[in-house]
Amino acid sequence: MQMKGKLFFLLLIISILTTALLGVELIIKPVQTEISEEIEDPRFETILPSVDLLITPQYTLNDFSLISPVFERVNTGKIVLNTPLKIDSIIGNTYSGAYEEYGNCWSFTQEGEKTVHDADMFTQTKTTWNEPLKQIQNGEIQENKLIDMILEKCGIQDEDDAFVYRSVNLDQRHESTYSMDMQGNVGHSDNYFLNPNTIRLEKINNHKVCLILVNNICCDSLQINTIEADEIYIFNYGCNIAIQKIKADKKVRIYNFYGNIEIGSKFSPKNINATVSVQLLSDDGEFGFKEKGGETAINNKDAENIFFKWNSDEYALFSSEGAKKELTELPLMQTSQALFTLKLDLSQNWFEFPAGAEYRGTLFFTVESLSN
Amino acid sequence: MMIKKPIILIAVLAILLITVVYADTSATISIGLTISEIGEYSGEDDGEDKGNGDDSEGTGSSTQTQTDDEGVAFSFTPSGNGLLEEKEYRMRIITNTEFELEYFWENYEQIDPRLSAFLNLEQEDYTHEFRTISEFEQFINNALLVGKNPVRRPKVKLQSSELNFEPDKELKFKVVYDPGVIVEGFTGTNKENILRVIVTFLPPSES
Repeated sequence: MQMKGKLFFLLLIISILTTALLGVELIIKPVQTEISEEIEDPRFETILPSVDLLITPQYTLNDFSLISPVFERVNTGKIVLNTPLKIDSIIGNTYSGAYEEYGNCWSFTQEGEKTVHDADMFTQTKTTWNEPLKQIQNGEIQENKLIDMILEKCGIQDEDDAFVYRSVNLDQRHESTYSMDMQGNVGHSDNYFLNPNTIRLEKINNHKVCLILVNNICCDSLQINTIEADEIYIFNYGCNIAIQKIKADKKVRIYNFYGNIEIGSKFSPKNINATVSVQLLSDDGEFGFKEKGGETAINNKDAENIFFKWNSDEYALFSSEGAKKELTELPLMQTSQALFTLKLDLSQNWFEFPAGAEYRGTLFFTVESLSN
Repeated sequence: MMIKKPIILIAVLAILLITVVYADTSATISIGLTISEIGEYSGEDDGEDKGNGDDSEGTGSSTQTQTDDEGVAFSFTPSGNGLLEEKEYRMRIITNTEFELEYFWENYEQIDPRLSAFLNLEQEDYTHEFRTISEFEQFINNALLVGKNPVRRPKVKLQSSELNFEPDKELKFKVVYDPGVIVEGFTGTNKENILRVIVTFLPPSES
């Protein structure tokens, strides 16, 4: 029995840890920091200025699929960058038959920061690569020559300065009765992908990273957990590349010819459900407003004095249990807004609140993500 | 003992992590409220007079009530039919602050000595202060009566704290005209007499 209790406790902690680690953190910030209101005539209702709450999903750098000021690509295959992305510009070209999907993008450059990027310097197109691609397709180019060419195009002079992963299979294609092309069509095709390899890499951290995958025989798969570098270059011909996280301080450049590249997780949430809860406490920790230096309080004990509403909902009695509001499908990359309004109705016992009396209370707002 | 250590460690880590994760997910906003002063008053009479203790028959005395910036003026003109006349006036004070209540006969020196008025408190509200009716009546005569008989008192000034004041309750003033009171040398006529009531609401800082 004691062992079961410990096990339960352990599982509880693990589940809390998991929730805390996976949940998207939300920041809640009221536009106002303080509300001061004079109740002109306590015999009548007084509606306090609405509290304008700004709710922003808060991502740590670890949460982003891709962080880079510049994303350059020449693409004839499929590129998917999943939400969330921290990126300033996507440049380059994509060609007929290609597919690209980008998640929500947040600015890489912080507000007020001025960073000069060399985005305009990238002028390569598919034409630049037409001849080498033809040679790869026909198995007419030597591996070393191809590697040198790619490194040169990527501006890598000395291979020692960079992490280079290369997997090149330039064998000439052969006929087969069973084939599958890049679009997943099964049948007779000029593209053949047989006996694919799957390679997993955990983390790559270097000044420059260059991944070269060429295979015109079968569709290899390369899976990488994390790449952190100043510059990241990927040359992909006919392979599948999946990278969970990329963090590049300067740029990410992808040459993707007839291959699939996916960055981040397709299971990343597209929106968030959240619960905002609010408590109204006086300085002594009790519900309501307490008179400063006095004995009276506005606390719904003797009469129904304090009401609240969210946005344009109807007013409801504010209880000591607090007030909750579920906000559904908040956009991930935007700041959402919620209005919280207090109404005081002292008409039943207005004479209990002496003229000149000052009451203080504090609204405590808490936002909690319901999904991740 | 071997199992406890990792559990405690994980628990501490969990608490720290949750603290970090949820630290920024809350916000506070303080609210300060100030209650303004309400100070309103109005007066009215009961519209019928009572003669000689008989509630059913009027004696013809004339009354009028006027509310203005200076307070409330209750006007009473005895009918002069030689009977005891009593008249009750009502006043409502709506306030959430302390106030001073002052009432007096205007032109006191010319007032008919057979006329008196007092704040007609209800004895049931003062059971703590006065145990018997005679004590209560003595208090009214000694402290609340304005007139010339049985005591000469031109003016009464009271603090709201002395009144067990309740804002939802009316204040009542009773005017009594007793022709049985014989005053030597008085040859007055049945002219209008005004009982003036002045309410001064005290600012919150002084209350």
